[in-house]
Amino acid sequence: MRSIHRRRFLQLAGVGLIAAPFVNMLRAGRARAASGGAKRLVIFFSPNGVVHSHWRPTGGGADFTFPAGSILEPLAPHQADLIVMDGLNFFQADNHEGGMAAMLTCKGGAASVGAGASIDQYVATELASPTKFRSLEFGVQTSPWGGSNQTRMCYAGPGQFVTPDDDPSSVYTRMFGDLMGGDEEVAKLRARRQRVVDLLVDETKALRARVGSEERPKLDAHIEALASVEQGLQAGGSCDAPVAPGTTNPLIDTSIPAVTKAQIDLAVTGLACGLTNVATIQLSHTVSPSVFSWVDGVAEGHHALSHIDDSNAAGVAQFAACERWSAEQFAYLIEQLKALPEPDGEGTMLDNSVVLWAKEMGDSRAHVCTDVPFVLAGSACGYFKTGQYLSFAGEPHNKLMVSICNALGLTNETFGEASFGAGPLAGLAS
Amino acid sequence: MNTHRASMITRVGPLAALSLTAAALLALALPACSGEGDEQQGDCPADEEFYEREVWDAFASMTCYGCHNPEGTAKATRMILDPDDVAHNMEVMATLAAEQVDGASLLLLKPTMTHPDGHGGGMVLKPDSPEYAALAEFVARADGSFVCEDGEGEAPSCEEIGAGPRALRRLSHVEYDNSVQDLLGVSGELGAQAASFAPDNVINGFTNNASALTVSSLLVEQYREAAEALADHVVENQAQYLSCAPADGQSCAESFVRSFGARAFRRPVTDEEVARYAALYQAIAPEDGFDVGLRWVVAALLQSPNFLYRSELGEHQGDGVYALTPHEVAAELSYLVLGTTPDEELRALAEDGTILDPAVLEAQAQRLLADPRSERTLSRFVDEWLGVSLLPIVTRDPTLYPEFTPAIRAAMLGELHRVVDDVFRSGGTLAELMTADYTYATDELAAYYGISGGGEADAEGFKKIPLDGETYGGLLTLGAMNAAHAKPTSSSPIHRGVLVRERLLCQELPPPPPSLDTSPPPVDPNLSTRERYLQHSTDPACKGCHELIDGIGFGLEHYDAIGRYRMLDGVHMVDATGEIVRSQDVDGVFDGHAGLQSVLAGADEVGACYTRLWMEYSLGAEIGGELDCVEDELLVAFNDSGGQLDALVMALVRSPHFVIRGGGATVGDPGDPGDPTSGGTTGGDTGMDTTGGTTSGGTTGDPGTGGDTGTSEGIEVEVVTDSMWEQGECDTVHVHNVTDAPITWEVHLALGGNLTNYWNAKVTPDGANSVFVGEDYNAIVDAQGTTSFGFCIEY
Repeated sequence: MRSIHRRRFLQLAGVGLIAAPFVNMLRAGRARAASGGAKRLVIFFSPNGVVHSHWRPTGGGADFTFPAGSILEPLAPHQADLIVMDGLNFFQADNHEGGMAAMLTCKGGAASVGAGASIDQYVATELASPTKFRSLEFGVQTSPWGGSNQTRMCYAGPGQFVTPDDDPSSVYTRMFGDLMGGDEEVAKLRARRQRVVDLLVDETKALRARVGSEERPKLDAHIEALASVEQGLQAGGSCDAPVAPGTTNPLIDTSIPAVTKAQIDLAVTGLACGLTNVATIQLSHTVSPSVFSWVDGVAEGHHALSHIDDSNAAGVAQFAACERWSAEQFAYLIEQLKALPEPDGEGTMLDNSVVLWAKEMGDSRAHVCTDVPFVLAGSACGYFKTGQYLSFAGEPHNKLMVSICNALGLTNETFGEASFGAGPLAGLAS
Repeated sequence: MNTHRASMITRVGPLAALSLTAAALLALALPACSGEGDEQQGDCPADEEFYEREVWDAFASMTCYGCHNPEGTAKATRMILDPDDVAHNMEVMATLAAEQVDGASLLLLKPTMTHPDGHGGGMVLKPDSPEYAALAEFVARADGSFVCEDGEGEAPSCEEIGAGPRALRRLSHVEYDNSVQDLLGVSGELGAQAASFAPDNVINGFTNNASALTVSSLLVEQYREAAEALADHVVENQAQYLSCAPADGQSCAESFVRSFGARAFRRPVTDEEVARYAALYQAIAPEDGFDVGLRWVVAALLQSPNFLYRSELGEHQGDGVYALTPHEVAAELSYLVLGTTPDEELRALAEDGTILDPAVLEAQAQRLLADPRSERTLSRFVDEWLGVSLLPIVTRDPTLYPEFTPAIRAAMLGELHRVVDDVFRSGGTLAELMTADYTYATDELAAYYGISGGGEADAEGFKKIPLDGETYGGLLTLGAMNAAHAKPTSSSPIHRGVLVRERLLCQELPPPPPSLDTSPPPVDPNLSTRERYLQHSTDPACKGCHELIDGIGFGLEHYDAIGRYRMLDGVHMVDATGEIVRSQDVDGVFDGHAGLQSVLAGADEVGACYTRLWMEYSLGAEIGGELDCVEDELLVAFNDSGGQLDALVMALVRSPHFVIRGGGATVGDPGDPGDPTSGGTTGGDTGMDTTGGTTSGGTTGDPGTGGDTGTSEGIEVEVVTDSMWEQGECDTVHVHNVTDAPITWEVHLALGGNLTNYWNAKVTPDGANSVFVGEDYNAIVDAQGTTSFGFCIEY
């Protein structure tokens, strides 16, 4: 996994075919640029809110520290690359499910910016990168309960979940399966898959013509899914495939550390190879019952621990220790992005990215979506003034999402439900 | 389109017979449905009756009372409810209903969390829920604005409702694997492709709800991986699959497409479809030979929407009634009972249409029920009904419970499945299941429980063992139930209480109110589990909800976190007395699992709940609206049988829904508007005027929309309401170009509600209007041409 390098996409399937659309789309992307020039978005999620007394840094502004033993302390080596945010609220949302749904959508309806999609899907659509994947959703035990408003955070539109892939082996096959072998072999495989996709689109359209209006969105979604797979077959971007992840049963709690690391590694590889520019890494889901038995002394489920009140200091400390483990994973993600130079660009990959750690609630004991903690990493090519700890007095987190869009060169002034607030968050831009 | 018509013509014989059957069945269905609560048919129920049935019993006694009681977290508000005085509650709520903030009723603003000051309990009602609709009607009654029009306030009759919606049902992952195994004769890893598919959305505990079974780009890729792996197998073992010589090339490939395609698609393959696959073969085989050509043909067939979706669309018989085709009915039956693709006998009966003969259909249902494979369909239902699917992977503290091995977990599921199957096959009732005095266990599981005896072991080592009823006996005492519903280090009265409330009584519990400290009691070795949880029912803030839950869960305290019977919880004697409150008719105190089960066993509400959940699973749909009548029929059949578990399958097979769809007076005929992406349209059998141009710039038949200023010149707009329900509607908009030049169209509509979905168009708001423009493929409408788009709104 260490020897990643990006082959120039021109080598893949002949110069003319691939190069022309790629270049055109790059230009289209640049034309949208406002002030930020970040190339990619990475969102990292860990569930069940937070206990602020174990999370908050001391100090404020550019002068802050992570107290010893606190949840965020593992991020200390990257302090200069971070913006830690406190005091953001999800408007008109509460509880586990409400928080999970509002976190990345900001409660947008069909007519709002984002049209009800989550920020990652909105950004993927707007960037319209000619990558193999519009976006990649990496999961760690997100799906044992199936898809629901508890287990999903990415939305293609109102109520339309985007399902993460919980199995690193499956992700690996999807990412690299048709990049193996000689160039000619790869081109042939892709061409035939493309023929099959063409046939499937024809059949799906023929079926669509027979159904009533209520069933049509189902087939429209299918056609859209085929189109997105088609884009993948046409896309450039290539690498020497890394070593396949080991096979562990991703459903067992004790596999969580290994699966998390494998998924972060794959996400970083996918971004470095240009297979996608938008990635989400979702650790479990709200109300997660995972038992973090590898963290000292923990034998209870994560959700149960998250609800322990302050009179049980030992119990709260166990929850904080679990959250500290999550912080270590976020730190690992930052490290990996920092270790890689930006392909065909300047600085590190982190410098050219927006990386966000999001949670679905504030104080988990109270089931509220106020004071929801966020951590941004990466300066987005200098757009963000990093190295800050900012407290907001109940601003809607919609504004954070606007800031993120702007950092990626998008010019929208609202995101999600517009009445909650417009414009970016003050103090983030440099 | 032509293909579709042609296939109708070839089936003219059976269909003619069918329309008679359809009409007869539909007529038969009506008396059973329209009888409910309508002695005053055409009138509305009195306010008191409406409040008690639709507001108090339906949700307020659960959702509101939990906090709005004299001691609850909302005790300082003006809404204090009394569980024993419904008239008082109505008065209190009516007073608040009349109070307005910015023109909206307080009673609607609060529970939806849209009041400027929020709601202490958070959002407890969604605006698109039937509960909200009932509350809105109550508010209208309270402020005098409610007008009782003929039939309003009454459930519509079955004649108005029709026989249920036409549907496409994507194969569930289980059905996919079963189908592939039967189509290709594969097993093992090759027959378990779906293990690596992205899990589907779960609706009310079920993984087969057709509305949630969609195909994402992730699933497209996973279907592709699976289909290519299966195609390789077919090519490697082609002698088994071909009835022609590969040397015949194209003709052999075509004959394979016809024969295998008919099985995969569960209907004959049309010439147009054969041509599609032949073209695929022809694009590959000349270069790489027959085998490679065949590989891609098989891979494509197994990714086809005609394989992946089961069609329950039917063919139009007039008046909005659709008759399912014989092939659709054969597939419906096969998947209902066996969860797999129709076998040869069913296919033959579909081919000559005789499956539509009610006697043949019933005989086939009986035949499939006798097939041992029907057990897996039942087991799947049981797992999802009772929430035990995750038993193999739930975490239980390995230092406290080293005995809880993978083998024990698997044996517990085997036990549960066998007990239910025994009751089902012996014509037993739900009450017998609740109180069964026997179980099935492997020697290892029997030793784990400390039970013994029993007869011959079955192939997997399970013996039927008599139970004494003291330690074990009855559904709720089975290991799987109590081990799946527990915490990593202790039993959980909450999980078990919620299980009974939600899955045996079908009562939805409200979420904990925000800002209320819901910390679980810390494990204190000096207290029993019961004592720790008793805090819930003594703390006034918790009591309103937890007395619903814990009082039931305490009854199962004799079972530890891994489903074993215990006399002691730590050092404490187990106290398993409990109480059920605020149920329909099972309120009262009881002692232990035996007491709890005997109360539940005979209760009508438990039977009604079982019927509803079985139906949700079997139809792959949430019950309501157009399916209400089917539910009524099934419940009558279930009760008439005395609660026999096997009564429901036959009742469903006999219901009009099984062979007919549509026909509801309120649901328009969606007809066949053609493929709008092709830029054309057809009048066809839609019954709407798409050629006369009489609707210049206006809208038709659509109370939900109005206004059109700003629509492109030369464009005439026709809005057809495809479906409408209490909270919203879905419309198709036909965009007619009445000029002799192409137009890049723009349509302005004032929608009568919030846009929830739209397709084949992009939309931007413009003041009160919504402005629709086409997607890339239909943005331009040809001279004198037509295209269309659609949307759904919520009022």
